[in-house]
Amino acid sequence: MTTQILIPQLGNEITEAELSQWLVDDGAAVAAGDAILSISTTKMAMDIEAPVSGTLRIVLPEGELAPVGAVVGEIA
Amino acid sequence: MTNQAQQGHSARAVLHRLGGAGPALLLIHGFGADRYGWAATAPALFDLATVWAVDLPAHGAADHAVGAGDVASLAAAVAPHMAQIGGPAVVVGHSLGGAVALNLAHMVPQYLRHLVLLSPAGLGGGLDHGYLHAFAQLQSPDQTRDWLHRLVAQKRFIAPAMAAHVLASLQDPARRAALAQIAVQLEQAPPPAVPRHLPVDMIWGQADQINPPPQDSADHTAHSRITRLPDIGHLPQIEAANRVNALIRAAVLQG
Repeated sequence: MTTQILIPQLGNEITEAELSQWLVDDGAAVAAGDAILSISTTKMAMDIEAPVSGTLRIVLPEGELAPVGAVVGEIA
Repeated sequence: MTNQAQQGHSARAVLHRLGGAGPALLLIHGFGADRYGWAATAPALFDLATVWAVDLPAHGAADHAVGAGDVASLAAAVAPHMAQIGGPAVVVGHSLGGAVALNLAHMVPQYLRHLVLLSPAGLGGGLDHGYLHAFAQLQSPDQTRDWLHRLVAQKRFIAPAMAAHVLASLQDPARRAALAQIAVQLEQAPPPAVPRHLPVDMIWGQADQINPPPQDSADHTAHSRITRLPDIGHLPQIEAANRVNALIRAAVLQG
């Protein structure tokens, strides 16, 4: 089963975020709760944690701008 | 120091409904911040609470009138909004917003049922007032980035674009003057009294350089509880978002 990593909801005034840094390499094993990605907007930055344990596949690379809800990676 | 332009104008805060449904939750940001700083907090609570945030006077969408510029003036600017948000509410305040929340609890006690204070100003081991005064003087992106980096234990939480956002917010000299006035008043303020009529949760980053945690207080009393987070700086709501959100959720769920 594959679990998607999404740009989370950031409130009703923020619609997109930049993928500032993947904290884990593509293909690496991650545990649920590990910080795997830093995202940022002009107003704030935050970490995204792995929702499940498994192997990370990066879909969108660092530096990309992605809308809220976009799939940026998968854990299988 | 006073600012002539602000004299005679009472401070006004701007209320924003961020989303969600359920019991009322109000977020009060810190010095130099605005409602956008809650982007890692508010959406995590939308399933549980109606989430509101204020922009304090001279911050975000509010105008530059700060009244006397002291914490009581800022709290008095928030107080008129409390009836609108319904309640009694859980009120979350960060840094200066924590001191505002404490004032609010004394000013309009009927509208608050639980305080969650993140590095509340006046209750730590000593606020770095020079740091606050420097904010109103920031000029260059590099200087602003260095100022922002001191907020956090890990620099990745400060994105380059944030420096530009902060500098843009300081474009108006009247805003700089209003913020300088708040910083001066905060330096002269006595420690806020912790109310005993409602539960108070305090959350502190152990690596907070701006408003370090208290050294010698009991972490648990009948009315208040301190949670200390290792390797976290002055922005626990960003740096340890899940931990902080879990504590806020617990406060909302507490009857």
